[in-house]
Amino acid sequence: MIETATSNQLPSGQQPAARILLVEDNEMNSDMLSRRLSKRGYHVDIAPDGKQGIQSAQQLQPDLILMDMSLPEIDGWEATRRLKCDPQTSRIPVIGLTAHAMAEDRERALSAGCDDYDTKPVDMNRLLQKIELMLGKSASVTEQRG
Amino acid sequence: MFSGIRRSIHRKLMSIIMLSAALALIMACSAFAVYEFITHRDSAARELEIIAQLVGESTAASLAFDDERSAADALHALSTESRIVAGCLYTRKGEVFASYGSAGPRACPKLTAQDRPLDENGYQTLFHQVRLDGGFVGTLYLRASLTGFWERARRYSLIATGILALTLLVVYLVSSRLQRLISGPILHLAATASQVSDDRNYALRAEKTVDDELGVLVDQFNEMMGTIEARNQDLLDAHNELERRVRERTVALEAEVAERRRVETDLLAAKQIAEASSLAKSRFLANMSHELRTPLNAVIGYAEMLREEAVVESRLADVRDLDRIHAAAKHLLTLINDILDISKIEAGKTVLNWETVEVVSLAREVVNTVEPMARERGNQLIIRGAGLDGTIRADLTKFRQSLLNLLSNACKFTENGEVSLEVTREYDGNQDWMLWKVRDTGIGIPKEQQHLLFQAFSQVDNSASRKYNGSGLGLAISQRFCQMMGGEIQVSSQVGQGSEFTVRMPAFAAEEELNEVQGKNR
Repeated sequence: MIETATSNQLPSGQQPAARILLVEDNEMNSDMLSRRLSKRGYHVDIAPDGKQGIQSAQQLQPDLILMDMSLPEIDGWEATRRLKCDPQTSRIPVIGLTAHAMAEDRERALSAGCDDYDTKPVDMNRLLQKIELMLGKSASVTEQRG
Repeated sequence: MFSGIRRSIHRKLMSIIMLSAALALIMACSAFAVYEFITHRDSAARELEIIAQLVGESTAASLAFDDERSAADALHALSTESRIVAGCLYTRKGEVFASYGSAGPRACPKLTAQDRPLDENGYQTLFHQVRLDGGFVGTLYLRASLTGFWERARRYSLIATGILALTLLVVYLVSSRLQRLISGPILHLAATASQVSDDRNYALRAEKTVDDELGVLVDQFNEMMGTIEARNQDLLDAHNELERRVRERTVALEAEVAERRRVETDLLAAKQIAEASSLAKSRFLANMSHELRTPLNAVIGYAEMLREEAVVESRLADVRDLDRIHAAAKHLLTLINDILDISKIEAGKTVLNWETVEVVSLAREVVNTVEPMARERGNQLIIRGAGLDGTIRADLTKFRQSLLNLLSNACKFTENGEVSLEVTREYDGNQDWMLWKVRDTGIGIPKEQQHLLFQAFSQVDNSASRKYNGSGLGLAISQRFCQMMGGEIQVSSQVGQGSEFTVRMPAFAAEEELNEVQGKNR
């Protein structure tokens, strides 16, 4: 159910690979995105819909979630809302992804609890910047807490 | 009413004629009577004088000789004159010598110095000096009655009255016929006028029967009626004409109103259909754009991924092909995005997200983004301007998209030239503006095509958009975005010299935060 692509290339530094949960229903997109992220040293898990995305997040406790907003079963907005309500998963940063480029989509994503937002097709460099920013942020939060 | 006039005019005319006749007769008779009276009295007086002379001559000797008897006889001869009622003979000393009449000597008045003839009431008196051979011997007094005269006068007046009555009768008979000559035409005229005023029939005319002033009056009346009739007819014609025009105009207006209402309904229906279809089109385009982008994501993503691998493995031919796939997919994506943008704008669904942005960093960002494209065509890319300090308030995504559109256009249409982004500020007397000028030294745009630049679906030259990989919507979208943000894009260009696109954005909001930002920078 959960595919795992392992990294063969670590990001800068010798830290263990960050774990990213990609919630995406389009098989081609999830395959392509997970492979590209894996190449950059991330450990990527994939969930094909919102319901399984929530389960995976609870089980796997990823460092970051890439959430497609248009999903079957439970859509990305609802899934994000639930994740942010659950104390188990609320600290995990969520980057919303949508093919809609409308401003209201961005607002909607942020109000559902997404920490950031990007549009598809992804600009790999921009997405990587956002991922790094989120991971750095959450790491500092974790450190403060720890 | 007419009988009243008739009687009145008849009576008046008759009265006038009768009165005139009567007056004439009375005056004539009176004149005769007066003349007769005067003549009669004078002749009576003269007669009395003659009698006195005769009696005086016959009694002069008796007085001279004091013969009373012969004097009395002589006086008695007066009895032949019936009108003489008294006679007295006085001596030189004035004593009654003899008398005549029923009253005897008592009827004799006393002599005074006065001896003129006197007209008493109904009587004539006379004093006569009796002379003998030129010597005064006594005075004779005679008194005569005028009874015969009054008798005559009464007869005269009877005859005059008879003549008057007879004359008036004849006058009445004659004038009652003759007055019709005058009253006839007048009454006819009055009747005609009356009929006209009753029937409002201005075609009626009075009949002319005589050729005098009344005839002229009838003529003038008829002429007046003619004028009135003509004027009345004119009025009637004008009235009818007016009514006809009003009717025509009313019919025309009703038709016009109906036509307008129909057109309005048609227009409304057409508008609703157009709006509905526009909305449907926008929804369809938005959905289609979404559906198109999902597979395109995969194409672009896989192409990028494979290219990365090909680069690592140094398969240069693959890299070139993958670049082409990538470029084509990116172009397709641009088209789809443009169509989505313009359909959102036209559906009125575009929402602005205002942000405050540092001018310098935005300028650098957009220039960096188009840098590869500029380099590809051998263009120099320059940022300049005195307006780079401070911030601007805008919807960052849309403003950036507009600037990128202008810059990438400039790079596309220029080869081995210069593309610059200059930021300046301007005060137009009303408010502050921030001007973002994108200038190139490229092919330029013909004057007559410049106004078409910002219109969606009506490109300057479709072949250009094909050749230069654009949708042709970029400028239209950018213009609408800038207008929504209170600004606009202006163009000035000369063929062969290059183009300059100026984005004018209100700078008032930026000024407020200028100091703050400058403080931070220090």
